[in-house]
Amino acid sequence: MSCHEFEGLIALHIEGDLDGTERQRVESHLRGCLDCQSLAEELRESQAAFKSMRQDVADQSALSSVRARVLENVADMGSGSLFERWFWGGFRQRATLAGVAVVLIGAAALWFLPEREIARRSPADTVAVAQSPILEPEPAVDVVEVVEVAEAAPTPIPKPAVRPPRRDRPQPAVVPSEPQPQVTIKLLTDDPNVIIYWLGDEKGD
Amino acid sequence: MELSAIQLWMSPPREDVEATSKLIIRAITGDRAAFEEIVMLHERRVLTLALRLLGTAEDAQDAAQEVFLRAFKYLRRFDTSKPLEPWLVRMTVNVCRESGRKRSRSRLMFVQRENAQYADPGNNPYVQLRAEEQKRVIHDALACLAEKERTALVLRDLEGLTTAEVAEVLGSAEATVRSQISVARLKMRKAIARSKGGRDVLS
Repeated sequence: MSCHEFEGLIALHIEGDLDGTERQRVESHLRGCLDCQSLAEELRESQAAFKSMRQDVADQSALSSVRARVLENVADMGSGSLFERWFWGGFRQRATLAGVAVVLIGAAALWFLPEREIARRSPADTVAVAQSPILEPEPAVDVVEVVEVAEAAPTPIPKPAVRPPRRDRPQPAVVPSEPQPQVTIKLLTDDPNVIIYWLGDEKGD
Repeated sequence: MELSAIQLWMSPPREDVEATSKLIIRAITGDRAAFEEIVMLHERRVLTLALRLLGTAEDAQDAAQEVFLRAFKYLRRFDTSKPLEPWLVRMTVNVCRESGRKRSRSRLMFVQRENAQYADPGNNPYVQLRAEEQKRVIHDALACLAEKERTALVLRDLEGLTTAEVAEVLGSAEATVRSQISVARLKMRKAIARSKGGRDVLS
């Protein structure tokens, strides 16, 4: 190590701030280096001068002045005791926290309420809204019915509650809300004693 | 008289934790006299430390006042099984740092001590003049230090804290504080030697 690198260690050594190996290294270097011995001596002198400031303590008039100001301020800090201020201060903090919690819960309820509202409606209506364009290719009558159902929704829906249907998955059939008119087909055979009746709806099912 | 005051400062008696604890409990429950007693027990150390860190009587008194008002405010949070003085010392250092920041530049944290109100060193005019000159030199040297270096040096060499205690007060690593103290001592030596000029004010 060079003398320059020893400087910092010497500044600690002169006040006994080194121990063990470091102290031995510094002492060994000081024994053989006149420049560093001189530096150590100057450091001791400047430290002695600096430490003479320990004699400077605040005088009594300054202490009295500070004490008077402190006690005056303490008296102005409220008529209640420290205990009372702690209690009410703590109460105020707890009340603030409770208020924040209520606001957060309210916001969460408003956010989730529309979804729950939709979920409560009849699944047939919901499915019809989402699936009608895909599942009903043929009868115009059904489409009309579906449109009517969609228009009958009482409130606007802020965001889709049902995922869009996947095209590669068979979708459930739409259940008609009204009974279809019955059609009776009478089939006559060659045998006048045999008549076949076929009961079905308009689509022939 | 001064000598005894110096000796008292240099080797402060161990704080009676039990007695302080009782005082704190009384103060928390609203006993103003108990709080006044706490102030009287610690005001000298707090104000002197503030003077050493800030350099002017006015700033130091403002800082000491702020320290005791904070102590009053947060006394209920204090762990009464521990001595009060290290807590107050830490608070004093923090208040003085904030005061230094308000002066916008770190170098201005420590200003020339024209009005510092220290106890009178004696009545001999020659001794007084010499003492004043030496203090001026040291204050000039302290003003050359960075704020952290100055605080570490004051706590270690004037307040007599160990390096570990200084590190705890400053919230720094011990190695960092050791380095700050070492650099500060070297800077002080250089500044004092420069300000000496041709005269040997320190001899």
